[in-house]
Amino acid sequence: MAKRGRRRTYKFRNIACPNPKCNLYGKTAKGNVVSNGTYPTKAGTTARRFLCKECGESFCERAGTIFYDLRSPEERVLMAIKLLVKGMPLRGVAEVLEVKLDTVRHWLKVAAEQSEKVDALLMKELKVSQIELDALWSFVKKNSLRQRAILWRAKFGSALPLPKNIA
Amino acid sequence: MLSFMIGGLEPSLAVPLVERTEERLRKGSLPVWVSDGMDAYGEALKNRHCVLKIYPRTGKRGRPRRDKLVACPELCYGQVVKERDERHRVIGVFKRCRYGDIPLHKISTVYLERHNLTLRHENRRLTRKTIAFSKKVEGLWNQLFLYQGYYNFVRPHRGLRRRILAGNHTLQKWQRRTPALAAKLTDHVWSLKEFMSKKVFINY
Repeated sequence: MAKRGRRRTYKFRNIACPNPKCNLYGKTAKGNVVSNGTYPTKAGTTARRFLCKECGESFCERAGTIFYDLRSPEERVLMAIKLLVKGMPLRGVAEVLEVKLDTVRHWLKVAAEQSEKVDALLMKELKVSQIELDALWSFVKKNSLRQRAILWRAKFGSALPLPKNIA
Repeated sequence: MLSFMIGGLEPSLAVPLVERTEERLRKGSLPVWVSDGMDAYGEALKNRHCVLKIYPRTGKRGRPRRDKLVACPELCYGQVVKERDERHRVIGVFKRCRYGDIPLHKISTVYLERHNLTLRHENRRLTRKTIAFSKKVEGLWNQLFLYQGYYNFVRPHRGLRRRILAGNHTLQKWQRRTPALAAKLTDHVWSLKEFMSKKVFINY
């Protein structure tokens, strides 16, 4: 006789627990992840929360991606990244997407961290026949005023001297 | 694009650059290394792949020759050097083999020079004669880390495209491929969203 009642199914077979202390950390299709409700995001969409039955930690579906803890819609963040890798300056992106410069800077930072992680994870054990090495010349601004202030502080103490007409 | 380094002078970057590049290679693989005339790359490679050469006693008078570190016989490293005149104009290019035995007609740095052009074109921070240059080094690191992943996984490379054989259902003539796809690390061209949503579990 077949078992009665609803068959136990785990829908979220491709989702893994992101808790490094969990025994099933990073393992999928183990049946430990169940749904734990949804919540509205600031961007107006709905995000799902999950619960790991192994360690008891709950996490949301965006944990581990660059969209975690970002308030803006995903499309806008992706558009900013696309513009950045197609030759647009930070200030240009901020102006086009009508966000603050520091916001774009933060998006660039999280995207760079993600890119570095994924690239290091997958681009390895390569078999290549020829490697070319070369240098590319560019420059980074020297903040001469700040450097001058640091030198001044090292020389004369903590405070910068006030101009003569104020002192 | 395997790795990059940012720093002050070029010779000081050779050692970390070679280290970071070799991290990405399969263990035991010995590719042909090609660079411009900068000898620091050769030194860095030699220091990583070297053997101690012992000179036997000759039996003659005098101090015996000191043992020294020489490059492994498997190490292949060649240089493509530009000759310039006093006005810094290029008047010729010659190739030379530094370590190992390389067929000189096969080595070149053209792919990298073209890649530098792509980098300058698509990263505003590296564009020449612009005021959008990096004001802090962190910004340059972030931009290049982002671009490295984007270049390897998301951006199809026109030179890597492959002809689709006739008789397929679509009318597409060419298959677009990224460097990661060409290296058989993935089976498709990633979308930017997929790349940015990829969950990485470290030490797993």
